[in-house]
Amino acid sequence: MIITSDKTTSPFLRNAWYIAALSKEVDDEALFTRKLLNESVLMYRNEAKQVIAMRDRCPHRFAPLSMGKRLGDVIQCHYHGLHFDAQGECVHNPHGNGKIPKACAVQTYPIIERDGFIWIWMGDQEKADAAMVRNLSIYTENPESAVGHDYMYNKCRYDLVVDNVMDLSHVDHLHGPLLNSAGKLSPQVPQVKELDNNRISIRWDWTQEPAMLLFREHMPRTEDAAQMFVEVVWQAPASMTLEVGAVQDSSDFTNDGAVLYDFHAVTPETEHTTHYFFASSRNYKMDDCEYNRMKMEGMIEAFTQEDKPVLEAQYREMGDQDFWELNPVLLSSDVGSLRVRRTLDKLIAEEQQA
Amino acid sequence: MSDLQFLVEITSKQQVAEDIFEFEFRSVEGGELPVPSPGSHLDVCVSPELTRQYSLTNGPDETGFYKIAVLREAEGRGGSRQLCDNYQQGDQIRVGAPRNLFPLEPAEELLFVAGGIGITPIYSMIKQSVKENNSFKFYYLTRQQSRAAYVAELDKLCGKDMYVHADAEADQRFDLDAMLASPNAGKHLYVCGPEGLIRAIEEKATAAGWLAGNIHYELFSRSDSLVHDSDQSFDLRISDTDQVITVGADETALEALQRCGLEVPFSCEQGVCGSCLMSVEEGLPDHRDMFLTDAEREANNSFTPCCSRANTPSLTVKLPA
Repeated sequence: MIITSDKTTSPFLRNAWYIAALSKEVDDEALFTRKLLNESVLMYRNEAKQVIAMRDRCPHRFAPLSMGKRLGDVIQCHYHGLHFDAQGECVHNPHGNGKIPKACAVQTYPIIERDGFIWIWMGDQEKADAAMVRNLSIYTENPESAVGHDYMYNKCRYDLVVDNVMDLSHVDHLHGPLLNSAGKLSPQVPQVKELDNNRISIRWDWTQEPAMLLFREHMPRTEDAAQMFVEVVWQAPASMTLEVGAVQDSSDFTNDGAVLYDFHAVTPETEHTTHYFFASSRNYKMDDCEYNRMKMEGMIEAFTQEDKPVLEAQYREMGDQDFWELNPVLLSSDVGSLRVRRTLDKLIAEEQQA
Repeated sequence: MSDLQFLVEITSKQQVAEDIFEFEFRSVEGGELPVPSPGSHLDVCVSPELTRQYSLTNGPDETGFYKIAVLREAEGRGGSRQLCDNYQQGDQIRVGAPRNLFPLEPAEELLFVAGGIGITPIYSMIKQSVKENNSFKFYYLTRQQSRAAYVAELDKLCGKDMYVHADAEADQRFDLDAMLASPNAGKHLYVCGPEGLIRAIEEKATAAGWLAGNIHYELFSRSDSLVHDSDQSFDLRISDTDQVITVGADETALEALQRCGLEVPFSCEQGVCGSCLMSVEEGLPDHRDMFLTDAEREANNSFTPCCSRANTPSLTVKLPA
């Protein structure tokens, strides 16, 4: 069922694909619930294994449907026993004469499942264009031993996570040995480019001696200097591909160097809390499951032990105040994150004027 | 800015080229001075309000003293003029510890390019490279030979690996493309000089296939200086009042507005944050910020006075409400 949403102003961009969950989070049986953009969403796989997403709220007394039970593809509300099918239509009313009121339906959402992620469209459904889902086919094409997906939860506004990935100068200062870039990024004014579909890229190039620890053992000469680069491409509303690599004696990172292909995406749970999705692949040691596991663990540990505490503390300090109203003192390394903020603000304003 | 922790004495001051003065500093307190690495610069306290950065020319064996060479810029903002005119041998001055934002990294092959006074960090790098027997080529670009410091010394160090081009005395413009023609992954370029030269070399090198990571230049010269030698003065007309403010060749539009007592909000002072953004009603801005999007830049109806200038003799702007 498509229900035209009321015109209350959302603080978020609605007409966009957000990630609702990792594929592995929604199994074949369970009712999975997650709040996205202030709305609780029920997700489950129908008998054809396709993900169904609907508002996790019975229209009668607003009990979460995820507390109910599955009858095949039909969900039975735990509280008064209404049944809803996978299209969100009420198909059974055990009360009175059994008549089903016309308004008795649940909002459903378009879903695209691809490359280990479940994407959801929570805006105007006529505008949902599958072509706007990011191409992350590398996570399908590469062997499982070279791919990892993970989920984190941050108690901060989602845009602070985007700022953090768009301004990688913090890697010089915040990160421990594994990801540290030895002060090489901060002095640079990174190169920002506008791409198609409002995408924005930012890139740093530098030399590090020896290479960043994460890459060091994959260099021909582990103690020598390596050329390094990192390039981030943001797409609305809040996802970023991030390629980072090191090479020696060549300019060809892809064929002669070690490159990670990472993906960071955030979906607001509320204005104050954020679902953080991450995936990573690489072009070296692709058959090594044990290395894959250790590398993912190391990276997730850095994000949760190093980034997360400062993002959450920063948000506690900012409270509900608007970023711009706080008059931040901005630095040269903010060029990319500011361009992203301005682009997203523009898209939200255009959507709300329409 | 680092602490100006060392009181030093000027133990030698000599002119080494037209308008270029070399200073040698030694510790007054007799303490050891930290040893600089090639490419380092020194904060020099020219007056209580004015600290300037100058690259050190020290080579690997030149310890116990600091050597800088300063171009006396008659039209500049005063730092170099004060230092060259007011300080003599025997005077004392405060300096910081050397800092290096332009480090020389190990490479199989080096290409050094110095434009004018940009020779100072390159000189220290060449001394290091000669000592370590590294393979390099050195291009020294200057307006006139008489304005180029250390030519004889460099000739001794570099021999056939040095090329000097004096613009005003040569028949043709220097061919940057030929100099940059054969990049390879093990070859690193170090360039120091006027911003225009650095930008041109960066652009041509990138086009010739140099890796961004192999192109090194001094970055503080850009962020430290929002006004460049080639900048000209222009007028700002305030649309509400018809007041005309002339922005001098050696100040930013924001500085000119503030000098005239007009209040404009500002924050980063380097074209990042957009706090100072003003509407432009007439004239074409010369956008030098990183805040505006490509579309906003092309619309030419706003500009950031903290760093941007004008491509027309006058800009009519609206003060923020």
